[in-house]
Amino acid sequence: MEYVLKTESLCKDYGRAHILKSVSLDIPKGSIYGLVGRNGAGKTTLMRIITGLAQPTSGRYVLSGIGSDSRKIGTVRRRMGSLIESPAVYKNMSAYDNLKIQFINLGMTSFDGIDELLSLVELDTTGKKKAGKFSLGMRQRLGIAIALCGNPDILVLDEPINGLDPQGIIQMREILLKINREKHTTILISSHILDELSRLATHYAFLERGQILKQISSEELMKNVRKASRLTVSSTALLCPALDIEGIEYKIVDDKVIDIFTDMSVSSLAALASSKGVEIEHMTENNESLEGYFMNLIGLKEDIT
Amino acid sequence: MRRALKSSLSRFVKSRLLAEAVIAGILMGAITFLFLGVFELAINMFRRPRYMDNSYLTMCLTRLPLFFTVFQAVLSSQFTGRDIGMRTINNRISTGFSRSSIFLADLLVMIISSLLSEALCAATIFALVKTVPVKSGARLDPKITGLLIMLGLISIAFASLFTLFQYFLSNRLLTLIICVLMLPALIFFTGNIDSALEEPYKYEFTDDVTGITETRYNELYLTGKKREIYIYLSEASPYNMYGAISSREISRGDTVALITFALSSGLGLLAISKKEFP
Repeated sequence: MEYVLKTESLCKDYGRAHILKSVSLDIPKGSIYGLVGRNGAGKTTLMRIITGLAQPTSGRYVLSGIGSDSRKIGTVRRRMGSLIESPAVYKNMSAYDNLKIQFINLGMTSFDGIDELLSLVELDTTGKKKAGKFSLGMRQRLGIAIALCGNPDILVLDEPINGLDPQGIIQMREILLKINREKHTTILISSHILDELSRLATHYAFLERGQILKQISSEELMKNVRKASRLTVSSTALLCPALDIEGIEYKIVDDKVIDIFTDMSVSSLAALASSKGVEIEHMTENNESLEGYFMNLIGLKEDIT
Repeated sequence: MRRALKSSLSRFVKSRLLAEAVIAGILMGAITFLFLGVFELAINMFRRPRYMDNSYLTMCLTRLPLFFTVFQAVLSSQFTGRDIGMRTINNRISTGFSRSSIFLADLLVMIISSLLSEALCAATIFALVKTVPVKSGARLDPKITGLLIMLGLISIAFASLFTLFQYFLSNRLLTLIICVLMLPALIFFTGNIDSALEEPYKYEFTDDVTGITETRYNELYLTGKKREIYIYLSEASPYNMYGAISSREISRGDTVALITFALSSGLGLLAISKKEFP
């Protein structure tokens, strides 16, 4: 597998605080790599190091085959677009001029791609309106357009859907999927909205207290997540002893709702319930979400520590 | 470096700071001319024939640092401060610019714009002196040229100092306040130096009880190296330029300006090389 970005034992300390502790990541080319972690886990710091905004205390990263300790890192960094925390835009300039400045930053002499980028992020009708008068969603999309200047090989996006309304979130998702599919741009993305992230990401890294807990592809994740049948019954208290005797794994949600994790037929479950005089009122398939997987991982880590 | 300079220059033009610097330069020139012209007219009401010569031009030009520093502080805040405040500086860092090239490019743009504004300001004053309907003896002689060069050097020094502050503090408003407050601070400093130099060598003392008057040596009178340093500082102050030029025919502002420029640029390069912007 070809990796566009690899980090090798990256550490970052601010004074006595260890923000990143030996973070090693391998980001495959063409993937959408979701970085999942709680506030203060070190996601933004990691992204800031990768984009050159911060220096690692120790460790290195390799971007498109060039090490961060090489002098050529500045050149390959032009092949990377980023949006860290909130969009960094010139509020006293129009969307067009903002992109033009970024084109100049990248050393580009032709500005032909600006209109295409503006229409991609649906800002082509803003004309001379200053970015300072844009809504949050528009500014976020302008930030994405700035990150996309120069057709980068890798996009680093830190919380790109923060503060967006539902329509804005859908728009952002569509833009990112389009870029990934059509231009094969690798995307490293972090988000607190795990449900949204699960609709995009092909790979995940789970970060907690500056350490990588796990790296996993979305296929592996789907295999690993526990499938559950959610039952609404007349009484979970009556059903549980029978489940214990049969060795069936379950989790009580409340007096009437229970999740069954063991794979078994509906008829045998119905027979077991009926033997205890319990009526099954409702039954649904309820797969564990990315959120649940993450919470389990954190739980495991906290158990270990 | 060329890419960084092109980026900084484009930003300067696109954000309309170039246009603002040009307008401000012309306005400052016109206001200086009118303000000092009215003052001149008021004190020499009955002088005939009315004329304006190089002494008037010198008076106008030596007053420039009094408000040009404030203009530079605002310009620096609008250009460098805004770039850091809006975090757009990160767009440049993440596209592979070295921090030192960003600093140098911004410094160079600040210097160019300051010199441009000042040149326009001086040109406006000169044009008005030549065109107002009074007899004019103003011309560009070596003394005026030297004065213009020194004003340029002082501008460069302040541009460098303000750019350093913007990068070092990374807080636009705080930096602007500090930069603007430098003006009264330097005027106060210059005033203190001058008053120390004006202390008399001896003074007459009359005893209230006996009524006897005697001549005493003034302990506050500065002598030796200390006096030399004070004289140097007084002559080097941009806020004492008129006095220094007219009374002593010399100003040391150029040396101090060059030292300030060298120190602040060097410090700026050192400070920014490892700095992480928010």
